[in-house]
Amino acid sequence: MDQSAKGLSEDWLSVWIGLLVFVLALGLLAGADVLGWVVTTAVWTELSKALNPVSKAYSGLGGAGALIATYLALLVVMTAGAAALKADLKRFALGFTAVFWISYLAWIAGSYANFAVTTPGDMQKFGISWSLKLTNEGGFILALVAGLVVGNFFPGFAAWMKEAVRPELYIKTAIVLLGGFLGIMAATQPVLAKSILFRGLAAIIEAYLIYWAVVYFVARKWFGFSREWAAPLASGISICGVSAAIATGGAIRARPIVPIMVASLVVIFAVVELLILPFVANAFLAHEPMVAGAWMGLAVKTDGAAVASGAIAESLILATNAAEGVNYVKGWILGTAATVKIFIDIFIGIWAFILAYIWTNHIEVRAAGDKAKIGEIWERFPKFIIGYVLTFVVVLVVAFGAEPATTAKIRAAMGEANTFRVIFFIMTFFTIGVMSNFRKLWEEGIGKLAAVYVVCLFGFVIWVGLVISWVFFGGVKPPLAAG
Amino acid sequence: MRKMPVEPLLPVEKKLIGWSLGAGLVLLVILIFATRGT
Repeated sequence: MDQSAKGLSEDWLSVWIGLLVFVLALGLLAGADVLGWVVTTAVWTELSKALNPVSKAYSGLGGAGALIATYLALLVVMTAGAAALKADLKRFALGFTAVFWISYLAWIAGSYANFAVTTPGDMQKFGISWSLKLTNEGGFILALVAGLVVGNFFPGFAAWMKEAVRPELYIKTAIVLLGGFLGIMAATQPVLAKSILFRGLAAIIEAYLIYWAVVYFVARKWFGFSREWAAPLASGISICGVSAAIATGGAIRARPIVPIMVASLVVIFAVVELLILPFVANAFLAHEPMVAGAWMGLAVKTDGAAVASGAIAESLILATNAAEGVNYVKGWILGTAATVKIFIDIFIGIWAFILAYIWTNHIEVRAAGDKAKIGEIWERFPKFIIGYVLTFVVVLVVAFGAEPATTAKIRAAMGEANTFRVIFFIMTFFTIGVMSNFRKLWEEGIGKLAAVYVVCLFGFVIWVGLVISWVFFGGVKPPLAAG
Repeated sequence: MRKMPVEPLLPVEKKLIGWSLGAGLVLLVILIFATRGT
């Protein structure tokens, strides 16, 4: 969890930015279409037809106008956010400009018909004879690849835009917005939503009590890691690569370099998982969509990559099922991945407190005034979850049992907010790639840590995650799309 | 990392690993039965 020296944390900033977009989007309920100018991209063969404002009320802007308006609005909001973080504003504004345009160009490229089209009917409509069938969300992978190219082959450029390379800020903002989107789905399918939330409890048990214990044992016993390295590594691999590794490092008073190395390693492996697991899920779990979603949330260990993997798995699986004539409602697979990951994140603060208690009382016994304090639970709590729960609950309460006309307005409002969520997603993919400098990490002697990760990830994290997902989500299907 | 000290597993660490795994497996079994009822 990145945090500037004296400013607001990225965690809180993501809540404020997410809530700002959410509240403005809800203006539709009062008849004010405040965000209808945000740009959206359709599958295209003629570039001039690719871009459009999300609302017809702003069609006069045109696609290019909507794109520029979206860039300017985000630049203003994000630079104001950077001021709250006490970041270097000039460097942030320049860096954000690069991040936004490269990310969005990757998204536009990913919507090209030969990449995105999934059905024979659409191939005929666009007049093409082949397609990679990645759906337009293949643009996420293009953004990631663009980021990896920048991070590994243009380190000077990566360093220049570093101030705006903040994947945690972008994904957490996206997750706050995702809450409202899932809220409207839960309001229309309350029984299924309740079932998913209940089954999500399994993720907490698995991550904290099973994964952590096994990874810690493997790191200590088989690889000879000291406690200072083994505990953050176990948290990083089991719970969350960035937040949990850093919280655990703080809890056991490890040197700052330890969680940073662990977090860097987990980010790299999350990228590798992101490139592989959604395709594996589509190949083997296309007919168990919710198992696939839960698996992404359980096996991929950064917030960004886990939710992103859920998004790619969803697009691939929906396309596979659509080709077989089964059309599921969009959002449930992604929602399951996000729910599972968020459930895991909720307990980071409590787990850090438990470890701090054990370490200060039984392992490195400290003086009474230096022992773990209960306030550390709140300090370590990932605050963006508050934003996610708030948007979810507000939409659920307003939409549950509402008149169809009101539900339609909320759905349209969340559609506009969701367009911003997609843009934050794209920037997450690009910046995760930029941060993943493989050569630098190898030079820092990360090989032994990586060995533990490979053994744990491929030895049991992926497989145990798959079994648990199957046991708890097997046979649970998303609702079918109307018509 | 190369100068890492050798630290054998302490009894409290063994207890932490054992209790975590035990509690995790028991809770998972309980949850499996609970979800069958939903």
